Amino acid sequence: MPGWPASDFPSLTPDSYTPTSPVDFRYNCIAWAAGDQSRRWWPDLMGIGYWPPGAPREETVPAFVAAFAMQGYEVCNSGQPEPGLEKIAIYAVRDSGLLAPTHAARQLNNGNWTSKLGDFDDIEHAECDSLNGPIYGSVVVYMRRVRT
Amino acid sequence: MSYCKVSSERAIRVSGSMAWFRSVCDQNTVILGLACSTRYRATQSYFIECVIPHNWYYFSTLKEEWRRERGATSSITKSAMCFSYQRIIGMGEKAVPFIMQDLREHRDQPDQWFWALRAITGANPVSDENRGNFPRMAEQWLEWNERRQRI
Repeated sequence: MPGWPASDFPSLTPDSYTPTSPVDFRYNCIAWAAGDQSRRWWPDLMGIGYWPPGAPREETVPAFVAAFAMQGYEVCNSGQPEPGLEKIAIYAVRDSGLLAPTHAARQLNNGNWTSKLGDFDDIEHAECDSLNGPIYGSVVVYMRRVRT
Repeated sequence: MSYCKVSSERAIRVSGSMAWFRSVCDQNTVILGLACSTRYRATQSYFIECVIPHNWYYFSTLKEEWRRERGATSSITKSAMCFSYQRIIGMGEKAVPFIMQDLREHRDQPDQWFWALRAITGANPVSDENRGNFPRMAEQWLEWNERRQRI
């Protein structure tokens, strides 16, 4: 049984994902998408989370794009797998008329996506849309870089 | 902690032959207990009670509520804005020993207590290079707390 509230992810059915690691509080989804399992990445104004120096420390989509750009990613049009390229998807939810970033997922070699769900498990899911819902909203930006 | 018999009127939930009960005595204590009986009959049941500090009970209840309330959010800000987390901050200095205890018990995987600690104490003992590294942040806060207690 997953630990997250089912209502957070109405599209995430048991057959649409595979848990790939246990609960871990040390990193969050943004860190996981960036390949960092030692820290939590978040541009909170209290200065709790790690945020790449040079990227704006604000909870906006452009700030998240800037943070991933510093990891070598550039904005692209879709999440369709492309040979030799690694993609990430940034999710956001509309909050008081503004887009507030909520989550990031990273594309695996097989075209599926890997996500860390809050403080819960990492999962592999075939579709980005399976995380759509009230908590993560939906994908607003795809980015890509050369897979190393 | 102390144990004694209490009257059956305090039982608040009955399940089979056992009844959990909770009673807020006063500002300082809460009673939690388990009534045990081979056949539950209020007049013959024996109750074991456990008197615990009210603040600890209040903190623990809010902590559980907070974990439910934040759900799967990854946002440190949203997590800190949860109503139950704000109420923990509202406890002020009374919450600090319980937060420190939680950090000590979960050094390897500490929870997101750092916002509350900063808000309550006004301190920030975490070095820039350790931002986001929760185990190291926990260590720095625990060291800060030890230094503070020595003063």
